[in-house]
Amino acid sequence: MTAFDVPDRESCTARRSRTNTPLQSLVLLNEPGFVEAARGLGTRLLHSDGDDRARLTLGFRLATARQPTAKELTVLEAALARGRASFTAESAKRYLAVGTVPADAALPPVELAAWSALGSLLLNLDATISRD
Amino acid sequence: MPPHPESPASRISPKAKRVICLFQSGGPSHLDLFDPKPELDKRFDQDLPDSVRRGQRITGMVAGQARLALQPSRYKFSQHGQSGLWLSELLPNLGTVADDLCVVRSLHTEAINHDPAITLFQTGHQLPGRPSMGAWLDYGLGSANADLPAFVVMTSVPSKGAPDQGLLARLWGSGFLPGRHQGVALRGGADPVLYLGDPPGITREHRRGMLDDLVVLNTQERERSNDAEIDTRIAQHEMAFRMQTSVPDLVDLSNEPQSTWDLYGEEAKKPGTFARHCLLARRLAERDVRFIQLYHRGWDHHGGLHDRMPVGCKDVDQPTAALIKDLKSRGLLDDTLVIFGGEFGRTCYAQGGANREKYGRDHHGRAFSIALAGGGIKGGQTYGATDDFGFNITENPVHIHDLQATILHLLGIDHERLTYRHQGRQYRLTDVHGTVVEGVMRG
Repeated sequence: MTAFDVPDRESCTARRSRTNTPLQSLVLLNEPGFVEAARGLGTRLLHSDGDDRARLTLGFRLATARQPTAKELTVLEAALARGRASFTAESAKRYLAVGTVPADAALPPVELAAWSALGSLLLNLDATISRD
Repeated sequence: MPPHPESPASRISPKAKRVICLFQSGGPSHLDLFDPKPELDKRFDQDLPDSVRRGQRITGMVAGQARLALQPSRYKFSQHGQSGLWLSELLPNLGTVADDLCVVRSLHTEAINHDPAITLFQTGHQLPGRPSMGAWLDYGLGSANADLPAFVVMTSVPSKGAPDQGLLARLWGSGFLPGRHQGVALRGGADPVLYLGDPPGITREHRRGMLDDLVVLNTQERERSNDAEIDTRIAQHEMAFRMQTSVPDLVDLSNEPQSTWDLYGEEAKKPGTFARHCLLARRLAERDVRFIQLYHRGWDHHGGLHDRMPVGCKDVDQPTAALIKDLKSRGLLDDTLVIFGGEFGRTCYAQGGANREKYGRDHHGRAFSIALAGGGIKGGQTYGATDDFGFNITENPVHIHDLQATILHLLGIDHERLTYRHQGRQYRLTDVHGTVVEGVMRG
């Protein structure tokens, strides 16, 4: 939590400092809890109705509480395609094993891995992690 | 980022670009390392005279003792180098760099116990909550290397025996300064920085592609919301990505020749040792990391000093000398300030009974020693002096705040002008204290 500016309670803190550090990036991208959460989001999207665009739109709305623009949707589609091309059966299995909650065995591993990586992208958006 | 022309960093010409602080946590005995006192030999087991003690408070650990019996060092002192620096037999390797060292014998602190004393040393105040020295320097000067954090911390424990007091992350924290100035701990295990490695299954290309997507999406968000902080976040993602390469490169020692291991000792081959950290400190210095903070624990020798001191010295003596020689041979010593010392010294009276061979000492902050080298320090001298008991300062007292003011000065910062507004007033590392010590600096 110290990576995320939690007040140390040594003195009165009226306003929490807001900073961005590379350590935060590393936590949000690589910490097993976040990887697991991303998988949770990816699983939820794969279980939802509709095609890729519908699922990507749902994911974006869940993360940021607004509709994606056409430009944003295009980026997300490319990200999903990258994930599908990047994972092999073997690397997908390793990615889905991170954390303690078992991956949904009914879903095809490469597809779930691609959606989980997409979930990680969504959970790392500034719009997702920053409160206005 | 270069400092603003009118900032406190621009008026003083800096001698040092980097600091390596080799902090010896627990309070090593100056009387057994740096400040020889033959008078204690002559007065073995006599009472500490009141005229010397002058009402100095004693800790609860010796308050119950019937007597404060004078305790000489069992270690032989000899002179080293052309300067004739006195060092105990426990520091033979430091003896070989004697002419690079300035030993300050007149350091003093009000703090009587570890946490307030280390907190004072690191943050300028005995109570926690303030930024550490490294954070202040990062705030004042910024980083000189775009791929690595500017403030890196490594901690080690004694090779044998209890490590005693722990170290808290707030000692390298940013206090009320923005969080990006905090120190980054470099760890011994597989992930040198926490969560540095991508999850299994994510390739480098995939990670790069994802970050590229984040840049695009976050940039669009920035245009929509006009939030400048997003630029910082984008930059920090990029820094994290670069660290994923730069940090493994830093800790990959496979290219180091045998001469390195000969210099630092075989212990340097083991991750997590002080020797290893000294070698990493040199590599960090080569990469222009601004503030490199090492801690070596286990110096709190209330008892068993005769057993524990040799262990601690064996852990630190060769690597410290190696680091100084290594920096020198690479042309880095002149602009790298090296600091070796702890939060306080130890008493000239024994904790428990006085004994020629087996003894312990309590905390003593009224007078103790620290060794400085490089970075504008005038080597080959001692600065300040203590009385025959090593109890009181007789010449040129240097308070912790004075040391801090001097460190900042050597880096080109006026300690009175590097401030930050917090809770209604300006704060600085030295708070409302501190005077630069001209005598330790090269002219």
